[in-house]
Amino acid sequence: MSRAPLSPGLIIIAMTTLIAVSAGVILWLSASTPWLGVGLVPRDGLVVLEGPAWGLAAGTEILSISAADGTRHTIEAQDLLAEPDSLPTYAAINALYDRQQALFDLIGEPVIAIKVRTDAGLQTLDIAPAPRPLSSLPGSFWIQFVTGITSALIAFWVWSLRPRLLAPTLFALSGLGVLMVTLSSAYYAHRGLALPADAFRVLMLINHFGILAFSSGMIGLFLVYPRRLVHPRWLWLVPALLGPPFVLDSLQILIEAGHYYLLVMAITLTIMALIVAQYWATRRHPDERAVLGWLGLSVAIAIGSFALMSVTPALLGYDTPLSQHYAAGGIIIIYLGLALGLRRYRLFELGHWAYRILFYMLGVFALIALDAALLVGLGVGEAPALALSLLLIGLIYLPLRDWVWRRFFAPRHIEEHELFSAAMAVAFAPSRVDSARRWRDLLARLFDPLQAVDHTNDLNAPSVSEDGLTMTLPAVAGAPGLRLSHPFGGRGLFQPGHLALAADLVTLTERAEESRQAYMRGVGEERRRMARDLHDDVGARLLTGLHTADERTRPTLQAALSDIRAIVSGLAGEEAELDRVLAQIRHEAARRLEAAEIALDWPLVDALGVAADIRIDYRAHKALTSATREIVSNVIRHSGADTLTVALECTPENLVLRFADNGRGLPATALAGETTGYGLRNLRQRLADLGGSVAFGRTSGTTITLALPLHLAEPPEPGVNFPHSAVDLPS
Amino acid sequence: MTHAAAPRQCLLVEDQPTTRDWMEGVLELAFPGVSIATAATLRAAYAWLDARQDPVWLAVIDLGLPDGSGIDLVRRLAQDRPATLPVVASIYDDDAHLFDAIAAGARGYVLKDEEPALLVGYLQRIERGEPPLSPSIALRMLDHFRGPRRKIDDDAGLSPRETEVLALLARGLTVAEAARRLGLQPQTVASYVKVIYQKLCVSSRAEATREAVRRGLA
Repeated sequence: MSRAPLSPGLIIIAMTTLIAVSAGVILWLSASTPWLGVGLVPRDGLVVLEGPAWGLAAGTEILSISAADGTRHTIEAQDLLAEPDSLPTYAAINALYDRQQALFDLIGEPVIAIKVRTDAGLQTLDIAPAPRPLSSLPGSFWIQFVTGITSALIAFWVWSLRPRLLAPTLFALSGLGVLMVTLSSAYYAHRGLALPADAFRVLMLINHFGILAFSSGMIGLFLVYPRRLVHPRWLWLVPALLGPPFVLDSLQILIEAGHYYLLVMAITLTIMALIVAQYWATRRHPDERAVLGWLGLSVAIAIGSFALMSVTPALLGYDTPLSQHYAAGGIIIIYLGLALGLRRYRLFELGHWAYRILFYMLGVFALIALDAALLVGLGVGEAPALALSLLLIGLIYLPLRDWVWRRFFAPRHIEEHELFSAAMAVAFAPSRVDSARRWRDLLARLFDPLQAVDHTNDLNAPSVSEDGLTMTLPAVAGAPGLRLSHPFGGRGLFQPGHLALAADLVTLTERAEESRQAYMRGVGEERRRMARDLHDDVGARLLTGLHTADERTRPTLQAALSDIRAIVSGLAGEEAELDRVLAQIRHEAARRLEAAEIALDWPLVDALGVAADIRIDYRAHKALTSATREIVSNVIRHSGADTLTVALECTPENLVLRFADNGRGLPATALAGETTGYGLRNLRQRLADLGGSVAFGRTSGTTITLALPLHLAEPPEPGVNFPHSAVDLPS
Repeated sequence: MTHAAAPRQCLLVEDQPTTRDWMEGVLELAFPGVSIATAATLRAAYAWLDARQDPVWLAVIDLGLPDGSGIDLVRRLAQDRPATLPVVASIYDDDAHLFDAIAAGARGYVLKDEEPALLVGYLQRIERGEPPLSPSIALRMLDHFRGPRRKIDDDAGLSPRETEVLALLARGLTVAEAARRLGLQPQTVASYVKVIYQKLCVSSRAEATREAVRRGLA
């Protein structure tokens, strides 16, 4: 397989162009083949008018056509045969081609005479064959046309994202096959009356090799996906075994035409058998079984219905006028099924991000189709109209097209000064989480990767791998290392310029981060100065007061000192992590109880997973600290207990702390909350202010239950979350 | 007066007279018979130390002094008089102040607005060799030793057991509780903590030197 760096965008433009050009050629051929201007259908071995035309009723029998020079040909039902390969022998097929050539020579004349049989008798009409308007093509043509284009678009879309993987490549091969089969068949089966023999042969060849490509792709796919049933090197056997019969069929040697449908039937059965084999092979792999359930089911339904509707009647010798073309529409189930199930079942390791590039692909296809339509429109226009069209195209269409292209498809550009301010914004975000988020947003703006996952690495500078498909970035500004893939919405690759830009950005952000740290040092310096002043002036005075105060004023002075501490340490107004707060509270209680020789039973709750991400308001922090302090003081001073048991319950919304001692218990008045003796009234008030509650009880000693609602801050986002682009979570 | 009966010498550095008197009272309560010298400024403390050759057993040092930070005195004591127990007495309990003091070599840290009875208990425990360590300090230490720059100097890295002890202390356990949980003697855990203190001291000194070299000061 080629190692050339191919961006999904490049593959998509190439493949979309291929599809659009093929479709355009088929439309052009259909529109430029001479046509009698009426729909003809076979009936009871005769050829009759499909609808009223030439002033005649529907069902009027067409007998023959003749040229001005007298060359005359009868018309037979066989001339309208949709699929020549349904004929049993090569001799019959070649005879058909010869008659087609003769008829084609005739309808190439400017005027031909057509003999018809009406109720009134035989009648001869002079008709001028003309190019066929596209609007006259029947529904079955469009079904085949749309099936081919859609299947190929979806198959190539998947392949563009995983060009190196075997399964998507085989899938793309099948899609190419469907394109060849449907487009060729759409043209020759709706030929009106005749095609040149050589053109017919070439179209049949394309059709049959399309079947070969589709079969090889599908058989190969189910040999290696979802479970690898055989080593990939054996996959060459598939075309090696299938190819010869197709070649023999093309050369019309060794086998007979009727064997062709046997071959198609055998292929259908092989694919079905492989799906069954995959079902068995995936029995212990539920995820792969799920993939098979979806993909295998769509394929089985599609080729099963195709076989039932077209191949079986042909094998049994029934004429299949056009049903095959409706049946071909069933093939689309495979590709639409894949597009719909891709995200849910992670088919071919793709995630929902892959849909973005599908929209891009449809956009490219629409633009190319529009361009082609304009070109065709120009080609057939009259001279003055041509000049007007050129003017309109120059003035309106081209600028509009350019605008649409730049608006939706071209990579965005960021100016130097913007880059600088963006780096500053990353470094100076209010919190580390914000920093990390801004960093990711900036990368998303710059490189618009389809996929961004956290990536642990020891890099100092960004590096590009997989021929530019991915870029790995070092950890910057609180954000973890990142691995970006499919840049520019999957339409481009990381070029050396992008790498340099990323390296600049990393350096710039690191510098900004250093500046921020210097700034924070300055803030710290200033805070220390304030702290010193507070300590020297206010603190010292309060402490002096505390050391000479009586019992009643001590709590006030202690509270004032504790406020000063909060201000100095910058805690006031900030949120704190709940598990740290709990650790601090527990530690303080343990130390004080240890000094008072009271045992503390406060088990560490290892399953306190919820507390890890919870940040609580400073007021809640303070309320918890002082409430616990108060309760512990009471236990030490008044309870006479020798053990204090503390139980913690935590939900994301609420925190409940139960304190139980084995002392003599609170007096009844205190339980009713009426006395102020134990400072418990303050406690009640403090918790009530925050929407919490405190409950007192008596068992063997005193029980106090604190309940406090936790004011939740946004938990940090798990993984990367780009605001506007689809992102894959690592599986 | 005999040598054997020579009282243990204690230095109290505190600029506020009321608090100094109060702290003297606490020290006498904690260690009956201790001999207490007092200083109100850093300069006075240095002068007292310079004039003295006898070992000093305990130094209780306020952080905010009129002529500088008590941290400097702690650092000097830790370097010049390893036999002395430097203890910081402050009104700040935030981890930045605590961490600086411990990194400088303080062996204890007490808050001056505690109840005298509690304070007596803490001081006696320091004497018994139980270093105090609050959860936030333990967390800070864990961060310090896990930091990317620490990888280079292995000599100051923590052993798995020491890390385990720190992690338990960071969750709010006391030294005694951590010892019970690990199935160790409290003294063993206390000795781990002392080793961690020393490693922090060494590593912060090494860092200070590195920083000085980087700035072209040394």
